[in-house]
Amino acid sequence: MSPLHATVAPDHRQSRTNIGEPRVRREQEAQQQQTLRPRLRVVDDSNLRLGARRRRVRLLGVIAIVVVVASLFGLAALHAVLIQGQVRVDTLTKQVAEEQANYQLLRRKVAELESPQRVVDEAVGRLGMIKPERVNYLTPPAGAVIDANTQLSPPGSSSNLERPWATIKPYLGVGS
Amino acid sequence: MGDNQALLGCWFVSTVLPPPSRTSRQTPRQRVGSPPRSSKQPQQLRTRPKQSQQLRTRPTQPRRQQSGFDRHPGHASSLRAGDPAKRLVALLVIVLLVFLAIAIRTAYLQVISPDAYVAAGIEQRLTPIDLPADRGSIFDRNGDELAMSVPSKTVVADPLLVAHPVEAAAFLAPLLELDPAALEADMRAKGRFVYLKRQMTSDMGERVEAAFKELTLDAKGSPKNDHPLKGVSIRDEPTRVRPAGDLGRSLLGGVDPDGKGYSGLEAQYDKALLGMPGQLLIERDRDGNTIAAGEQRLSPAVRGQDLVLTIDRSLQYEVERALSDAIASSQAKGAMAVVMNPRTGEVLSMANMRAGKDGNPPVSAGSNSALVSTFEPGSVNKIITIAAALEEGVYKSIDVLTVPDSLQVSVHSFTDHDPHEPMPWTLGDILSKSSNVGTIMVAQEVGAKTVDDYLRKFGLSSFTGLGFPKESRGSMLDLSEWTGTSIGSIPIGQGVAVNAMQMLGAFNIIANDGVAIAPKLVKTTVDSQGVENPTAIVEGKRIISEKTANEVVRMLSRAVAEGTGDKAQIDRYTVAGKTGTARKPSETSRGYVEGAYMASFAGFVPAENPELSAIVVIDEPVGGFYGGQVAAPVFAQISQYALRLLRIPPPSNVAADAPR
Repeated sequence: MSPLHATVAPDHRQSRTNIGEPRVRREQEAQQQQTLRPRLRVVDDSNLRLGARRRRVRLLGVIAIVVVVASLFGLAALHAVLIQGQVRVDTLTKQVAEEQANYQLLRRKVAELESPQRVVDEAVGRLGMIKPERVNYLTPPAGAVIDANTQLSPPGSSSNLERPWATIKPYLGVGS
Repeated sequence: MGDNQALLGCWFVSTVLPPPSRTSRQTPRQRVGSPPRSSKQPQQLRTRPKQSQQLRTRPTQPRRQQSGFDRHPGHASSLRAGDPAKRLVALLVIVLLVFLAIAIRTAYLQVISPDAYVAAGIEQRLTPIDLPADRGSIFDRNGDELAMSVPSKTVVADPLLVAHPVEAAAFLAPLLELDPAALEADMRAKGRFVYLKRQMTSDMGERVEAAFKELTLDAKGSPKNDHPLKGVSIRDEPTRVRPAGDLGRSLLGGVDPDGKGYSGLEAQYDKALLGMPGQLLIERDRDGNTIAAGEQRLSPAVRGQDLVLTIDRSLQYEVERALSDAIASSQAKGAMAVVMNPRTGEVLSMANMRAGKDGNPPVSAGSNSALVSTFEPGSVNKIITIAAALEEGVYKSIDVLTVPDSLQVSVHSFTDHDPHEPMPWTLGDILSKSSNVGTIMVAQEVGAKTVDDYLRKFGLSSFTGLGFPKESRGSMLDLSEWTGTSIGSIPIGQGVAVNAMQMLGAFNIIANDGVAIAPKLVKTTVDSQGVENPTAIVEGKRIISEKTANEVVRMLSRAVAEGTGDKAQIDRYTVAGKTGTARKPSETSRGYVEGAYMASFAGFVPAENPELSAIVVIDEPVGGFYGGQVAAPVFAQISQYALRLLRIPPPSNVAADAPR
């Protein structure tokens, strides 16, 4: 209940019971009460509420601006990171292609170095290899046992190197 | 569209919008929509003349001057009082019209006909990058590269964009080692694309690339707008190389600059080797940089399959070297040889050499003569007649025939190499002495039809099954076409044409206990994931009985041990084989070329358990022209190396010190 109502609203029940009391006394009491109690008035808080609302709006506005600006900066930063990442991806892709090409060229070089013609040329020309007049066979003594650790390729194979293709293939080129 | 908008904008600014005023900060809307001016507004009205003065500077001013506003200044204020409303209406109408036009145009572009613009947009942003599929490599049986694709650089030009053809040609000619005039002509050619130099060597490619960068990029590495090489560019292009040079060239074949096989195994397995090209669609900006988080669509290229041949690179080299030596020593036109495993049908080496021009060393032949060319086999063919006689029970190995040194067959008299008295020879003797007369006598007993049947059963006049491009099936007369002398000539290997592979196939049947095994050049293919797909094994087909085959093996062993093929002997191994010397038919007329022979030797080793078979054919040797003289030694040389390379031990029953 507001102070205004407390001061002006009469107590009807009390007024009915005090009907016989002297009117002067009631007036005196009323006068006395008026002198003791401060003069009250209804406060107009519309300005306060308007101010509070403005502050809230301002705050919200500031927050919104901050959020928008932060979002924009965030987006810009994200975009920058994306571009940096893309540049890095492009660089790495280019590097992979270059290394792949380099690998192929090295494969070629190895194959050329291993080619029989080059090996023979080197052996004859540089190291002085000569062809034997006849091949001498050594016959192992009867009952000779071959060391179990000796790796011999099966007859019919000119190489004892067994390379699994599945391990070689991934290095042979892109697209596999 | 853009120009229209610009014009509309100018007109809008000059006609509709009020001119800017220094005295009033009211917006046009406020001025137009304000109530009739009160007496407090003359100042604003007084500003109007100033505004109209400003308007005079605009292009529309001359029309205004003609409209009478300035000619009747007294009426100016009353007329201007209606302007805002008219302007408002005009503005609204114009804005509505503009928006309507925009809406219609937007609807047309977005709904009715968006395709062209969508395509244009995509074309502007999306850059398709072709991803060429690497052509598969060709390996020997041990995984050593025989043919492979490597990246290389190619210089191309867009003649439409070439701005300085003379300067560009002068700059590029020494780098590309080309004639400047030819280069300039290429750059002035019609069309949008021309190759200037394809698939440069790595050294040349590096030099050209460095020179390009120096000329086309500025100090910061950015491309220059104008430079002498405008319209010329370098692109990557794979090139096919054979790391071992011409080794096995005729067998491997060739690949054209576009990566398509045109001969040999490269052509035969072109589809498998080629792979599947891919494409990368990528969004790029004006400078060619990839747009981050842009669209990317990748269809990866699938590398072609690799071929793993049955060929052994080292043996191939040794065979080619042996043939070269033989050509050089016998002054022959050429030579060919095939080495196989008779048990598996694997071809270990297939070499074709020809004499070099002008006294130069022999070189690798362009075509794979061992499969593509045919020759009359001569005496090596006799084993089929002997095997037929044994298999059909016409003769036993111990039967003795009285063999004279000459025999008249129809109109032709056939003779043996050396004159001799009539001799009591077994089939083994006939074979080891390579008696023409004895073989013809056996054939006459066997009968023409049976001889013809066995020749065909042994694979003559049939494709080998290798599927090699341009393979020849040889030629044989149909039985109905045989003449009176055919029963004399065909059993001794004249009047019938075979390729070297076919003849060796016949010997393989003998070596393989009478079972024919299909020859094999490709051991396996390896797909892009490294999965091996071995070549299907074809079931062997029995041609003659094992007993007959073993009897022929013994006869062939004798032929080498004490017969015409003694130069094919290999220390500590038993060689079974047969020599052959046949006259060369004339290519221009009927009959044979005088003094031209094909010398051959075919056999296998060890005779007890054959693991290696080979045929050597020398084309037109000069001087000694017999197979036993020029071909048998080459067989021995090749086989000796192959036995060592393939680690095939000598039979244990051969004494180490036994004279061979």
